[in-house]
Amino acid sequence: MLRDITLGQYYPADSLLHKLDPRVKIVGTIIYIAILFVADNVWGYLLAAMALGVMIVMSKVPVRFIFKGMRAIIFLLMITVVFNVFLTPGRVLFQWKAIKITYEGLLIAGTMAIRLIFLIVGTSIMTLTTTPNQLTDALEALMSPFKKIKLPVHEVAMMMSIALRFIPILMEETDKIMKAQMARGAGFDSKRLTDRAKSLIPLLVPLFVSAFRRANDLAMAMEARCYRGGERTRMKPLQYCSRDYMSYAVLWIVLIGAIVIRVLLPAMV
Amino acid sequence: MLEFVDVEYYYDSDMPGATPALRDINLKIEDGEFVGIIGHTGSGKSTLVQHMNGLLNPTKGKYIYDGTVIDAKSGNLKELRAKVGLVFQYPEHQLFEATVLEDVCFGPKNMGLTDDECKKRAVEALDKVGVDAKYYDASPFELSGGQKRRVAIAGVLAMSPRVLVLDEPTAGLDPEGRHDLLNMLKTLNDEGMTIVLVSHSMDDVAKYARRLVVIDNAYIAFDGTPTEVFSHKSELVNMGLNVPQITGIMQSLKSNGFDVDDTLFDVDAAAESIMKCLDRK
Repeated sequence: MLRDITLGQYYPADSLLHKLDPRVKIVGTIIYIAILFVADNVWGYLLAAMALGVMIVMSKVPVRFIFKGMRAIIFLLMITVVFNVFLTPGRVLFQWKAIKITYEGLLIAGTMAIRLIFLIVGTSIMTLTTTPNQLTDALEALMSPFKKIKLPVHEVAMMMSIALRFIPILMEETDKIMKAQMARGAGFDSKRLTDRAKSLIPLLVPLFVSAFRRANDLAMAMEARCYRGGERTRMKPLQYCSRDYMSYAVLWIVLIGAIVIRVLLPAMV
Repeated sequence: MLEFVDVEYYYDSDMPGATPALRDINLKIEDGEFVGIIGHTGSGKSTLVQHMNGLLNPTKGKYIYDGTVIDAKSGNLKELRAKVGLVFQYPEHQLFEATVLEDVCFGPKNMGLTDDECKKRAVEALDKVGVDAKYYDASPFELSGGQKRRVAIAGVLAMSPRVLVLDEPTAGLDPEGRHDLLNMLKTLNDEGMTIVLVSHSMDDVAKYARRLVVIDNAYIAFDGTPTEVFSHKSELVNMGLNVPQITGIMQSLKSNGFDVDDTLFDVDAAAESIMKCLDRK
């Protein structure tokens, strides 16, 4: 039941996106988010959709796999859409008693949904094509300017990579504890919300205990191997090559394109 | 009585090219038996026992406990879980209540018993596993490893199951704790409870189980008395398993020309057999 979550998962394949320097991918994701928020008309969204389509094809990750991650946010998406459709004032298209649907509401709900979906799909392409280790290496490199203001960049990056590494472990642990408690007659499918919250206690308490135990073991193991933080050198230092510079160029061109579209073409709302 | 009929199980049945975790499982365990299930890590033994109390449904075939048939479509099996108690590996990781007594009460409470009845059952169960009354109000997290495990096992026993299934219950225990635990299982079996003991340690299982089921690569490889199973030494070694230490010694003695009984797995009996052989010479 917990195996379905693909958010933040890595999908191994041999593609250009996989080979790209992880720093490019992080910067690219940020630029992509910027493009999404710059867009305020059909052409802007079309540009974002095209960029997304090209990325999906280039990543060689099965489309089914990419959209599996959407299941996690479908609830959030629905709430956003429903609230926007019914609560936005404006030109009324349809009215039944207190419920009315406006032109503006539909428009905002639609663009919100598109933005959210594009956002999730775009960022999950990054995590699907980048191993957690590469991701934290890149973050560490990109954040290194902050060392000047005494931010412990290496430690922050290390904490993030450990946190990511622990997701599948804790997932498996949850599955195990769930089964163990079910063997003692516990049910996790109660209808009433209060019962359901209560039924989570036998799951969450052991899970916390085990998370602390594992953290403790890991800290011990790291100390035993003389881990002291940021003074280490790397076995595989990150190095830009020509395809990375090319990708940067393409990214900036697309961003400038998005800004040009916004400035020159009229907005929808 | 519990029975597997042509059971097959896949973890990801919708993925193309998925390999089954269990295949062609036909197994019948009568009331009051003490069965050892042995297999290499990843052989499918844990998957097999999770069928016994309905945590997993067979993908194909059916599993029957006392007339209750469970196949791919069966749902809500709470009643079955009270009848077949399953103790997972490292069961102490499931403890969560503030006190030992309350934790053991969790199972009976889920069965819908009254508070008094729950308490009665919890005290009985703790007594059976040998946890002293002075620990009842202690936090389960303060106990030592061995005691935690006893409390966790009591948590399952308190539901008064008729079958007790244990997945590697001796993992991580010292020799004494191991011995105590296995003896406790023997006592429970003598009182009429069916015991299914999963392990990869032949020495553990051989001494107590009267019947061994060997699982290899999703199949049942052997099913018989310890003596029968241990006579297949070379096949067992190929599966990454082995015969008990003492049987191994007897078998190599025999192949080196000593006239000893090479089916023994009990130290005392083996010593006797060796003495007899030496006297004859």
